Amino acid sequence: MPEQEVEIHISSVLAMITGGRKDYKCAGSNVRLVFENLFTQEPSLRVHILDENNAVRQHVLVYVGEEDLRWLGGLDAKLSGPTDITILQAVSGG
Amino acid sequence: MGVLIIVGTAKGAFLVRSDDNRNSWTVDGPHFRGWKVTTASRNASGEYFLATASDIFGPAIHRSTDLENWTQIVDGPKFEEDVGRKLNQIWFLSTNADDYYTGVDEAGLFRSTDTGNSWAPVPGLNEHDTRSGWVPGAGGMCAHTFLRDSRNPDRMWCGISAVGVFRTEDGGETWQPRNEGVKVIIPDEDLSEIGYCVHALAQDPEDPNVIWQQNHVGMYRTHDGGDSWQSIQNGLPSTFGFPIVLDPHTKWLYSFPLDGDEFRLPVDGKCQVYRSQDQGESWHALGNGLPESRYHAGVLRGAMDIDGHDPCGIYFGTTSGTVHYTNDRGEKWYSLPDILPRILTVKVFSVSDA
Repeated sequence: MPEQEVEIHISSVLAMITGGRKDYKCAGSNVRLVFENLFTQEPSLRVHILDENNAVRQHVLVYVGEEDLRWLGGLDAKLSGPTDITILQAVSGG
Repeated sequence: MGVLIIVGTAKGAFLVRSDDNRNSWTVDGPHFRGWKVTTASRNASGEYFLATASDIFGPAIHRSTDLENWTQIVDGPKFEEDVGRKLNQIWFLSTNADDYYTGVDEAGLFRSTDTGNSWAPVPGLNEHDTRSGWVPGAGGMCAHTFLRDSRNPDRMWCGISAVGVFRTEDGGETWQPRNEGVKVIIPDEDLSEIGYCVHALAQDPEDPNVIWQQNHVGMYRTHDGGDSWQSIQNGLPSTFGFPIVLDPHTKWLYSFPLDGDEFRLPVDGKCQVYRSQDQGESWHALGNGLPESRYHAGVLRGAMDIDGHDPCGIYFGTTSGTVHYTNDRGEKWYSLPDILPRILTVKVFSVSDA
């Protein structure tokens, strides 16, 4: 599977710890690898997106295009073409 | 010279500044807009540390030399995957000695030996023999309070809710519960040395063995570093409250009793700080300038602090987002006009450029 170039967009609250930056370009053949690329660029984001088990935090919502990552199979979901990933806070988080 | 107050709220930090007169204030914020700010500290070099948390995005520690530009500590406190614990909040930062310590929820203590760049768990406490019996209080199971012995760097205390006070004599290798004389709140059938709900501690700067404790079920004092505690309730309107602070110049004590533990509201709807001028033997209400009635906000564990001036200033923030202060040891009180989010922590620092 060739590596996909993905645009990642993070929420305004998360951008408070990235100096205001909200958009990143990352590469990887699945979401986990794309996130690893993101954490290389912005190490401070890892602890806010993944939990102690390296799973997406319970109340963090990840959209791949318009699809919820949970319905695509989680972090190992393959990326089949150019897309955007958006990281938001779920309504369940309060 | 002047005073800086870092007010940590449920939605960010506010920096409150005044000159030494402490009667005219500026308020700057919110910093970390949208994040809980749960505690703050400063090290000997003047660098500030600040802890954020979020129910969605989790906690982190940040550092800054100018209070404007903050850098997150990437290798912060973290439970390993196989430990099976979640790190929910940073409760205290102790950065005024060579080794830094931080206490967290879910209860744990972490140490940094490289001025805060990386943090490692303290297994002597985190994996204590009594760990299986530890249970949370209403605010979670958290290591929230920390004291050092100014005469012996190997000697420290850590308060954990609802577990009790622990003391180490060997630089944190081993820890012993030190709660004799305190009323147990959650008795454990097999582990009689835990089940105590310490809320906050204050320490005599001249004799580190003299410590006062606001507990879930009373006010206490020890003269022997926690080997034995005595009840000191005379004059207090309730046994419940969160903060206790000490003026290092007069050794007067200040607390904010609440009608609890069921209700956790100010007693009789009055906003009153209680002061002891005799080491805790007796307590008296202070309210001159504070709301006298129809007052129903609380003051949380970390939300009262004292400056190093003489006469001292005392500052507290409420769950309704108001900040109140005195600049004359509590004789007269004032309120800032700002209404902030729910206040979680108030930390006061002397500064040269306020």
